Amino acid sequence: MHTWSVMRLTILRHLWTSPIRALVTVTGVAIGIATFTAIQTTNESVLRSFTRAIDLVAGRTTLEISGGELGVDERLLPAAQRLDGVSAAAPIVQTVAAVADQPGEALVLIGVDLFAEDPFREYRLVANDRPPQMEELLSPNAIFVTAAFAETHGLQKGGHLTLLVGSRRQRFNIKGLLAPQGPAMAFDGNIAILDIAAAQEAFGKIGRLDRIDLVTDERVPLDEIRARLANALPPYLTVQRPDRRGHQVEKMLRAFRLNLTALSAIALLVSLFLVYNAVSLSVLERRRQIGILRSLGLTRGALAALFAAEGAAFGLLGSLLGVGGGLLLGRVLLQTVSRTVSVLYTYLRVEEIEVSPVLLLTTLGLGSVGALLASLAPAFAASRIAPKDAMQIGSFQRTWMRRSLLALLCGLLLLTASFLLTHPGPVSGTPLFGYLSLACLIFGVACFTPQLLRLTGVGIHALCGGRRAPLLTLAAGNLSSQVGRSAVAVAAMMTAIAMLVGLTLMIGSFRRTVELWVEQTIRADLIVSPAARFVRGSQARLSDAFIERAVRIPGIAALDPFIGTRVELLGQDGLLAAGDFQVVAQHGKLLFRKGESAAVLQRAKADDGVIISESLALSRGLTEGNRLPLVLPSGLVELPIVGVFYDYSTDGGKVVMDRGLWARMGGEYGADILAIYLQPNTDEAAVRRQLLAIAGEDGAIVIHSNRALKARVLEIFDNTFAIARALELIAILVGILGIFNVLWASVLSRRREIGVLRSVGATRAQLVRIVLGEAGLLGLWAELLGLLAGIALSLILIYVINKQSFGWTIQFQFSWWVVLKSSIIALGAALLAGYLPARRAARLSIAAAVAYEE
Amino acid sequence: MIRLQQVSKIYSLGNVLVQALNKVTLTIGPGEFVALVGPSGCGKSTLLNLMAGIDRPTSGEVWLDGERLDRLSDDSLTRLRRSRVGIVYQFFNLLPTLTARENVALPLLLDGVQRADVERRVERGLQRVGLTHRAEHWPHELSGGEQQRVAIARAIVAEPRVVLADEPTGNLDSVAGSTVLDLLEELHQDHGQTIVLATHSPEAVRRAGRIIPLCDGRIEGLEGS
Repeated sequence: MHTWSVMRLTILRHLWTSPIRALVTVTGVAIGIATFTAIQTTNESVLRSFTRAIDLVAGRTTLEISGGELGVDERLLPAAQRLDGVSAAAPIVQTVAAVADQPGEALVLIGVDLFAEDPFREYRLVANDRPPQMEELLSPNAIFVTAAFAETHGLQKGGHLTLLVGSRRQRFNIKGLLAPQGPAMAFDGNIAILDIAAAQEAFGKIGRLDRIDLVTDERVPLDEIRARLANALPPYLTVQRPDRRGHQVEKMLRAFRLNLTALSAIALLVSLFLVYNAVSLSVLERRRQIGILRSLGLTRGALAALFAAEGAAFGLLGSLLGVGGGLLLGRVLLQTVSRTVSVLYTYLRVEEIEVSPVLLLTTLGLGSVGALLASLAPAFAASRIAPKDAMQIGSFQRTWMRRSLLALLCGLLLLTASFLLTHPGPVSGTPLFGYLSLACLIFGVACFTPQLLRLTGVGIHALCGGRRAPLLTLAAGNLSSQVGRSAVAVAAMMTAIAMLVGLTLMIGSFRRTVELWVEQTIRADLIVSPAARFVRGSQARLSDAFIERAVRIPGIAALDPFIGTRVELLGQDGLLAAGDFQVVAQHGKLLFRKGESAAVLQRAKADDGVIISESLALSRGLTEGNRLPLVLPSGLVELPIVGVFYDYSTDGGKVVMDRGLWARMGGEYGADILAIYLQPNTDEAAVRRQLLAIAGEDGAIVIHSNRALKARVLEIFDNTFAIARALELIAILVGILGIFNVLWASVLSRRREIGVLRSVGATRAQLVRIVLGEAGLLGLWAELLGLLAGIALSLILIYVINKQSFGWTIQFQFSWWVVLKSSIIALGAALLAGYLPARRAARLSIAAAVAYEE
Repeated sequence: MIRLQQVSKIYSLGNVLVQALNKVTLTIGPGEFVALVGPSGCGKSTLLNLMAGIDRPTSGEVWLDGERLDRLSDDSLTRLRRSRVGIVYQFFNLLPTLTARENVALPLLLDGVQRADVERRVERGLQRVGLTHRAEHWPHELSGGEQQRVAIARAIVAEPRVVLADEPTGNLDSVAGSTVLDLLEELHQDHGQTIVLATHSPEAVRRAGRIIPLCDGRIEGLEGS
């Protein structure tokens, strides 16, 4: 059989004669794929950019010794250098500094021993640049920036660059511009090099290093050298290959990336509903053609293949367009995602989207295969139509009516499965069963639509009894008589609404929980922090001298210097921190799972215990009374867990101890944040002025009032969920296309009925109202089902997925606003989608319509 | 009652112009039973569509009850079809999602007639076509003849003065066809309604009081009709 010829004559020609539907379906798939591509490409670009930066900075380094933010004592350097199998060792200090007077702009500063760098990295100055003199290289304020950074910021050799390092503004002299080679290409050129001694002083890390890079003897196995180093070094230090840091970041970002992927997958799912819908409509419209082709000898298999090919064609075309659109969309998303990652996880600088051919091919395949799978059911249904039935009008619809009960049963089974899947725990830290539960929920509720639409027609007909609301009766009758096509459109829109409702409720509940947490736990009147701390990795601290002088400011009742260091906590990245428990017990408050704040804090101080965040407790199965092992520079310690507190500031886990214990264990000095409690009736502005005066002219501190800090926390929260909200809208858009497709096809296939209605006295306005009534009913069901599914979805997100991914307890909070918002969106979107089909129905030529032969 | 003056109708099919009616002039008086006859494509349906106000002439004038249809707005034409013209089609054209009773009631419901009045008139319409016992059935549960009788009940439920029927027996067997023609004849004789039917059926032609032969968009035998 000449399959291609048959396909060309039947499928392609049909698509050509239904250009609007083909266009809408392809557009829907393109939007779904574009969203998916954009999210995936952005995710990948972010990770790749980070791992590339690590590679570029690592150069020829084969192993590195690090202690996280605890750092490495520089006295260990000679020992490392001398170790058998180590060819070269180079000390590194690294921080992220904010560029002064340029909000949001940051730079990675790397302090290196320029005389030890040769075996590791190569730096090249831009052409025509005279190599610097020795004293220039080693002068305390000398810095080398990349040519790209200089160009962007209008800088040149010999000029100055002011950075916020620690809690001070520091002016550096630009001694040379680095050509784009090696480390200078990392972080998109937002990197600067300075001498290690100057860096240690500038960063407040005298005597300490962030890591020691090693080049090892190729002839000795790496594992052997690692073992030798592990024996020679204190246990809190890790010896690893540089690329391990990439894996750690990947692990840290996994939940964040997975959530975005899941959301974009919903947009993709809605668009695949559209393909299912379009192929179903095709089958419905061409039942006569199916009969003719079957009577002419086309086998069932070949017929199914024809329709499946139609779906695959939609998928392929949509995917091709979507991949292109996704890359454009990815450029827009990239900045938002990299900003969020920089604020929440690790400093990143990604300017360019990275296009991975494998990812593009995978997405193309996903779109095409997804569309093919989506079209299999209608294609199979087409192949089951007997030639004689195909000639009978409505036989296919009646088949659908029989199937609606079966679908209902499937729906019940899927909902049961969805419920059961909420019980198992995570798989390697991923809420795999939670995501499966979501999928079962969406498909389960979708299965209810055929039966509900049938009942709608029957119900409205029974209520109106054919004696009142004739337009509504007609609209409902049309929907229930075309269950096959209507149900899928409702399912698509329902999915979009469920996503909207689910995310709105989850984000709303989360926000409310964070609001309550912020309200109850942020009690200080003023909060001081180094200005550079707006980005992760800055490690900027307020000095002890600053804190000591601040204590003496009149009107201050108490101070709580909070200091934290990122370390590995039981195999996961987390924050080890210290605060003044006495002050917090007296003036502040933490929310504990068990016990009252002041009592728990005082007991922790008295018992030399720690308090841990809920996320750490959940992810590591810890509870009050357990002992927490910590590997610190002073050795291995096991501290009793006195309390578990709710915390939403980090998803990596947090351990806090009293400052006294911290000092005894050799913790660093200074503070990341200084919480200040004022005496009653103190002039807040006067205290602010004095704090700024203490910081001095070159001080770079930020002072937040209680209210401003709370607002800032919520602002970060809202920014984090900005992408999720954008994805909601995309899914709604695809849903609108689904309803449009159905109503457009419905108007076309009911030309004769419309003509008859007009000929017996229906005005154009009445016709518009009938079609809009259908749209409204579709929207109403999508809203009702979407609302129910959305509430269930939010519960799964809150109690299963978020809990397993991040370990946060979120108090579910229902909001009537979401009902109103989703109703307006669902009905508005449905009516919008119905507008053009309604106009078309009203403008059909009556004479031509009544002469139309179905 | 119905007057057509120099009416022409030209359709465009792609790039081709097709003259469906060519300067037809015709008058049908009140209470006449007229049969339009002629081969397929001669313009019978087009002529009925123009009389019913569901199509507009390319040129010429179409008058119904003293009103010039080709100048009426779409809404005015719609109102006219609700109350003054009843239309019966070859393929019955009942709405599949409404029962027989609801199909009959449709023109009245669209016109916003009081419920009690609707029920009374629908009952009478169904009685006239002898289908009261099938009133609650769906179209697909009725035979072709029954469907056409429901269509006739729908056409006359608003008691229009003119009933236009386009091949009303074309899709029926001879027994059902005769029943339908009996009904139309009865409407004409007992209620004085003007009946214009386009037909190929010799029986229908026999029952008509006047026969208008059409060929190639003209009334045959009349020069410049």
